[in-house]
Amino acid sequence: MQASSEPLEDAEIGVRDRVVARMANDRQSGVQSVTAGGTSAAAFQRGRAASQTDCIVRFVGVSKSFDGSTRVVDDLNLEIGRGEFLTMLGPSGSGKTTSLMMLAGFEGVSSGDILIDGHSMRGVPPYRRNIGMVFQNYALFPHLTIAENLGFPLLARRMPRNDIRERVRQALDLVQLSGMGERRPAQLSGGQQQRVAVARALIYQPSLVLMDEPLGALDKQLREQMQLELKRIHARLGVTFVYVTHDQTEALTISDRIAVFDQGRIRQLASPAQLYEAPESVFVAQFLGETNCLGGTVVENAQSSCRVTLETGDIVLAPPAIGLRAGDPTVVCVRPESIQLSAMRHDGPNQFRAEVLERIYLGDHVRLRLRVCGNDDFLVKLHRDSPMPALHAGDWSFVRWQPDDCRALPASSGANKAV
Amino acid sequence: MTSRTHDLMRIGLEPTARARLRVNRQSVHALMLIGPCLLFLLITFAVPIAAMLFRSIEDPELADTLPHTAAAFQAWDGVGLPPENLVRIFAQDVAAARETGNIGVAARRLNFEVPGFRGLLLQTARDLPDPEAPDLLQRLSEADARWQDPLYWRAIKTAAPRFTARYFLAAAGLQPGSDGALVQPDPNRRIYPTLLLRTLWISLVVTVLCTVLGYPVAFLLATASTKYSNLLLLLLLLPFWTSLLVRTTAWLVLLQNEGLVNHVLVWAGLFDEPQQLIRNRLGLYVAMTHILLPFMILPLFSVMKGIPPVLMRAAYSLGAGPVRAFSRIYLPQTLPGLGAGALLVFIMSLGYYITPALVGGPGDQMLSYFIAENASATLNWGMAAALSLALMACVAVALVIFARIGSQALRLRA
Ligand SMILES: Nc1ncnc2c1ncn2[C@@H]1O[C@H](COP(=O)(O)OP(=O)(O)O)[C@@H](O)[C@H]1O
Ligand SMILES: [Mg+2]
Repeated sequence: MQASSEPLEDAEIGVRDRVVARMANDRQSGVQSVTAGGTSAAAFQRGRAASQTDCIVRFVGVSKSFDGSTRVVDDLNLEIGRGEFLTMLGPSGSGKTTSLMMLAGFEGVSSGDILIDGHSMRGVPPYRRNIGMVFQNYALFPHLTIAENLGFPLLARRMPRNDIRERVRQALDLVQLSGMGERRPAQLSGGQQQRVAVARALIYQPSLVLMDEPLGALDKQLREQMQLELKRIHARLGVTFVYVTHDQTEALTISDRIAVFDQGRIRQLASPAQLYEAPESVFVAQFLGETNCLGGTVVENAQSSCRVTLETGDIVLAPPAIGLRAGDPTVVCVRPESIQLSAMRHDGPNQFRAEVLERIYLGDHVRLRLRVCGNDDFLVKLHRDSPMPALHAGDWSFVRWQPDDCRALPASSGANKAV
Repeated sequence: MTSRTHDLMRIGLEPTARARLRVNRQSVHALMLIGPCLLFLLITFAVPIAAMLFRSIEDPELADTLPHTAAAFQAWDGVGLPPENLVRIFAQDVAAARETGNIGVAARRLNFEVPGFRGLLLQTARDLPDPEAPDLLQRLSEADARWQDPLYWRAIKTAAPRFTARYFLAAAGLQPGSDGALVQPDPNRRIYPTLLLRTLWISLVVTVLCTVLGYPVAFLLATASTKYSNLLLLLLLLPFWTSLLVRTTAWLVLLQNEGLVNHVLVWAGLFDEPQQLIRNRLGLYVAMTHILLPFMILPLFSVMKGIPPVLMRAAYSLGAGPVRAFSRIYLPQTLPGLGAGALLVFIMSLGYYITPALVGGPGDQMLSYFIAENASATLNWGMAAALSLALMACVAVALVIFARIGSQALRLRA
């Protein structure tokens, strides 16, 4: 996929979307025939429209331990709505893959239960769960052709050969690989293999599809393109996607909701915008995007605002913080893009003297590393045509931000576990 | 021609010429790298073997020791007793060979054709009548009546040519009849075809046993955690540190009538009295399978190690049960290892010698045993060479079959 072929690509996407739509129709007719009886099918449709109430997957107090002592997944409670695109995001080793594998049936749960469509999955082997799965390195069968790879799940479901051939052809169209059915996986590029893996997980029209870092092996450009494509496929098919990644940008781009994992627990479960704008912990604030942290103590947490004294004695005003009382240790977080610089002191709160330590030119914006209130890693992003005169290392300036742009969060042991 | 067109021509010609040059230089380099090893193999391996195999069609003894007789008897029709002039040439040659001391070689060679010929010829050479006397055949017969039997004279004609197909015919269970047609000798001289079939059968059974026993072990090795798989691998390689002879005799000790296995069987009440477990086919299968098992497991293990476990998970997630996932996804990918292991075991079995000799009964000896016997006991090097070639042909056929299957498997994988 070269950037130079963009017009052609747009045309292709148009065709692809039509094919996706056709698959979606097929899928619905398939579902209807399964849930026989018109009323239940109609109820199903209504349920999907109000997807919040209808949940397809429920983790109920699920814990997992491999060695009997350390809990890799710790009391996981999670409801995934039908048709939702839910992403499990977290640093490496936080238990995302383990959670996904328990859902897929490759790992047993140590305690708790997982329900799919209301049924307990205890003792149900992976091949009876009817879940689509895309693995990180695609897991295409190297000894089979692309068409045979795609036909494999259909063959396992004893579909007649003619139907399989037709369905495989449609799936190849869907991922723009028509005519490549006779090739082996090794003869395809990484991006093409990725498409085959997605098509293979969707071809038998499962209502739940799991993906474990499916784009991890692709280069940046291709990854971004595939993110959008996955999102489009999700929107078209209405299938529930549970997606695992450690890449916060990717999670923000594609998800309906994100579950932020840390040490086997969900730290926060919210939409991308909520997570970014209203993180509930320093961990989440630092994990999603960049953030500046200033440690201090709550002086007063009132209806209108929260007053914090920093270690340097400076006062910061933040919006009222939930769960903090006067005297509690706290960390004030503020995003680099919310900060203004000025040569002189203005009226208003949250203004501090700053020394420029480093200046990095990044084309569309400039990053400054400052020393503010004893923090040597205070980052500020300035848009290229911001009115501020050029600042260089050694210069002095003032930073300020609106109280609404920062948050006072409980200081916790994990406060510095930034990635 | 302007310099411009000259340049164009050069551009047109150069790439191919340069490429050819590069290929040549590459092959010269390659040759230099493998040269010493190639030379070593040629001198110590290829040449001696070729020389040995040449003996399977060579029959020089009579032609060397009784040269005139050999030449004259080849022209004789072989019916009845030979004419007087042939007998005279024979007597002259025998006298000459006795002088040079070569008569023993001729006697041994003729003894292969007719048992007892050796004694006859040596005795006759000692009391040889004057070769110039008349009625020479009559005088010979008076010394020993066997000279009246056409069988002995025909044997001289048979042994006369310098080159012969009789060893190969013998290996195929045939021999040239008196009238030149091929006939089957009596059954107890027709052992080699049976022997070849037995050798192939034993090798096949051992290969199947190794496959059946080795596949699960290799699977365990490839999928166990590193801690256990290292230990298992060590156990697997342990036998390589002891000699083949020791391992074979160990089975002799274990399986004998008073051995551990019999004791256990009787103690467990499975049998009332010790069973014959050794010096028969059962003992041979047990010992050979044990010795050759690692050669099946190791190639399988290395191939299985290269199959990502996630492929089986993928198969399960796509709705395939364990049986389908194994037969459609796992097994096909292990075929190259299975083929390599089976080929290795089969070819090594074909040449097995010590193990059958020690733990097998008389009816379990394989072709190598008879090659050794011909080469060292009866000194029938021609027969030994012919049998060796037959064995090599089997190996070659096995290789071709494997290459066929292997290329198919590779085509599947590629
Ligand atoms: N099969 C296993 N046996 C033992 N420990 C495991 C196994 N799988 C994962 N773990 C451990 O569980 C923790 C979580 O792993 P994982 O779920 O893969 O994390 P993530 O996908 O978020 O990177 C890690 O510390 C890892 O070492
Ligand atoms: Mg993972």
